Amino acid sequence: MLKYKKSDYPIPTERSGTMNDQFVIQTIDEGFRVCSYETDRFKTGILSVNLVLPLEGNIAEKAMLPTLLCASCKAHPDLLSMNRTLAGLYGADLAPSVAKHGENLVLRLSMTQICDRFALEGESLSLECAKLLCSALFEPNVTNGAFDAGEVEREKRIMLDRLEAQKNNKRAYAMKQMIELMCADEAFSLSALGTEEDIRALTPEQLYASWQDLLRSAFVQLQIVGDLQVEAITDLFCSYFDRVEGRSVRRGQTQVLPTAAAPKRGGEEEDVRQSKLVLGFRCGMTEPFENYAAVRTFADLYGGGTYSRLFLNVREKQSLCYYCSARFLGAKGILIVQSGVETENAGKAETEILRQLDEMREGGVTEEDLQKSHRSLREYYLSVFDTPEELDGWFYSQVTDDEFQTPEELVDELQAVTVDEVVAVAEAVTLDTVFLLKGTGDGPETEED
Amino acid sequence: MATVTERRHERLGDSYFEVKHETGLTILVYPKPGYSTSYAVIGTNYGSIDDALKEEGGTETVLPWGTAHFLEHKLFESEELDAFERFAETGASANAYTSFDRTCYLFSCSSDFAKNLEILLDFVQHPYFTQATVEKEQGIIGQEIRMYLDEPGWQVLFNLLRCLYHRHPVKIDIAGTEESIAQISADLLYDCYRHFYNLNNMVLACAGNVTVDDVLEVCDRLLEAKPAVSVERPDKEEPADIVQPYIAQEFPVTLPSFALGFKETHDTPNRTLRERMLTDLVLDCVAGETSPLYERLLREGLIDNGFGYEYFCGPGYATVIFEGRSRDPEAVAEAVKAEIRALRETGIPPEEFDRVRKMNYGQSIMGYNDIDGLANSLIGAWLNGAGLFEELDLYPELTVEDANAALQRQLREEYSALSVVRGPADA
Repeated sequence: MLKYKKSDYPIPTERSGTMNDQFVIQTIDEGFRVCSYETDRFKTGILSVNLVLPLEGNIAEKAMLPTLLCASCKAHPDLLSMNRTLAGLYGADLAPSVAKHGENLVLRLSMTQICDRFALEGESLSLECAKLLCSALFEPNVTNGAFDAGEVEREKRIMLDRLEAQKNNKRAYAMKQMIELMCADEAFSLSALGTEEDIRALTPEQLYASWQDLLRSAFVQLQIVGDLQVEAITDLFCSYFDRVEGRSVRRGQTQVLPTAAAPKRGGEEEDVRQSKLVLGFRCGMTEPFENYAAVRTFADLYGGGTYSRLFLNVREKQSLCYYCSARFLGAKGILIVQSGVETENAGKAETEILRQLDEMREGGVTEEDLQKSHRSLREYYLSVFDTPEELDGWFYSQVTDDEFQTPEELVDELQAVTVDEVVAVAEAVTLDTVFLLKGTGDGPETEED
Repeated sequence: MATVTERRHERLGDSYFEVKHETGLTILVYPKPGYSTSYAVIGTNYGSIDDALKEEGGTETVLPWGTAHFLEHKLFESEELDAFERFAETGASANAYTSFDRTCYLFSCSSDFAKNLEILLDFVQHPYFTQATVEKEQGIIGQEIRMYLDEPGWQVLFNLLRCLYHRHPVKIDIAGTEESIAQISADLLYDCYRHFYNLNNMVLACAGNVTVDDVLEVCDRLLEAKPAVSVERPDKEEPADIVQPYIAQEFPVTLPSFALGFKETHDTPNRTLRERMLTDLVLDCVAGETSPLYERLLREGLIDNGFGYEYFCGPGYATVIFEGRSRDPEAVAEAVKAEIRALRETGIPPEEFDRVRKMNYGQSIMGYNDIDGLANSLIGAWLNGAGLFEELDLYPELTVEDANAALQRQLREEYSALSVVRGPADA
């Protein structure tokens, strides 16, 4: 049994409530961290285990694991029995997910449940749910070094369908294509689901080996939010990780390029009415989250809120786009502008989007605008405290960081950002890639019978 | 003085407060101690299905489709600063939405609640429309309508509704059509505004870091009493039968999407809370994640985990809809119908009913964290004439016998239709 180090970060806040209402980060060892926020303000709790691997190699064999692990376990060896167990726990939700976080792949299993005090028969739901989550992760339905072949086939199909479905969401598809072009020589171009070819080739044995590798080499962040039994749950997970042999954590490094070379261009045509124009920028950063507060503020003023330049000018004043916004991916240090445009306006919209950036470089950022952004971002980050999902998401957003920051600390940094700093970011931002998903149709046909 | 009624739920440990303001506005306040944000939403009982304007005893004026949504877009404007600019000054995040049966304006903030509520009540009470701004908006909304025409998930739903409904405007896109919004003028918007935005037809719900006194202090200052207008929702005279049982549309999609609907007719325009809850339980027993049907369809690769269903109901319409993606939508539709027939024969197993009831109770509890969800649920409950906490207390009363009786009446194949969207290769 591992001994806890004394909490590195007991951070007091001024929130009311009878429980701690504070962020607690416990470093169990170099590969295992427990983040908790105990409060009785909520009716529910969230328990999640987040496993981080470098974004490299065969992604499919890793990406498949969360769904496979959530679908069954030794004690509940098929989907129906697992789902019925969860329903009996008052509809507790065991959800798998996989996502890129910079050039890391985060595999996640999360359990959302109602608090013990609402159980009608006095059940200890929080421990029951934690045990079920441990069973899913550590005691899967495996025999002779392989997952169940039928379950693997089903999950492969679901994964392939998801990959196909991604292409149907034109907005997300255009963004994905832009990233693949922009980051063609970087690991970030890899899809978090893996390639179609790799998914098709997955075998039950290969997935078993990948699961073992996950337990041995992933950096693990356990997140506990709400009125749950933090100590007992931590003990439970520690006892399971103690039994994993040969644990040796592998951590990835995200490559961040400060500037772009000459802009790349790409595009595709599709039989839809509207076009999707996506622009990718480098932000002058050399490592993840560097200069975060200033770049975040820049992105907000450029294309964030309703007071942003892209919203006010490109969308409202000139009616060039139905939507036009900027999104900053701090973990990778890139900024993405997404817009939906009439095909004949695509060129005009691109010029206007870039002209707004030029204006920000040339004195267009006012103190008044900056105050709007300060207020809006402050509101946004302080609302983190009002749902278990947001608090869980706050921990998750820092899963690859060594140092933990509270929302208040980030808000303080954001409030200190000056006009000059925003202008400096605008000057450092360079256009890397333009991608146009060109709508060539006037609409699909309908057939009736 | 307005009377304040407390509604308390002991097990939840929560209360909300109900006030009928002297101006006619219903005010609902759900304080959440310890929360940092507050949320307010003001709604009118006026949505996309209201395609006629009729005062009690008066004549009926037909409205172009999409008028409610158009009005929502335009209400943010004023002669000086528009509402978005005013909220940018305070840092609140503001928005609005129009659905089939309501139009709502909202903000959330973590400071200056009173100031933000002033802005909200002020702009909602002071319309400013000109012919020039209306014409500009026709361009913007036209783009929005075209964007939705490219959304397969949206089209598959409205194609289904057009198969099921002859007359009821629920079959029309909430934003209307490019042709219908071309008929909207500033004068028409003023007429609709005076009619539907009467405070007697409206409700304000606030939740989070807020008290009743905070809300009433602003309301007493800002609300302007006007003569009451009584709004009628004329009967849509929708026949019981459907238009056609099948529709398919070609789209550049790689995996077909489908929506399978079972239309219902009723003697009363609205479904009661009890009817809606029972239907949800029946649907979970038929096709929920704990049902053998769901497991089988997933195993056979006929659905993915985007499969779902809902009881889609509102004033004058009620339809059960199953939707998802499938390489063979027709096979899924057949399997769902066969399962319904089989369950009608055997009855829902009591242990399955108990399980889904427990699950639904838990999921209801889960809804009580989230202040924007709560404020919008308060509005929904008010529109349905029910109290917010009634749902939690009703679960123990629902029995498997009730569910089996509902299953006999609902989900009739003769009133069902299938809508499919598929790629050129699959067509």
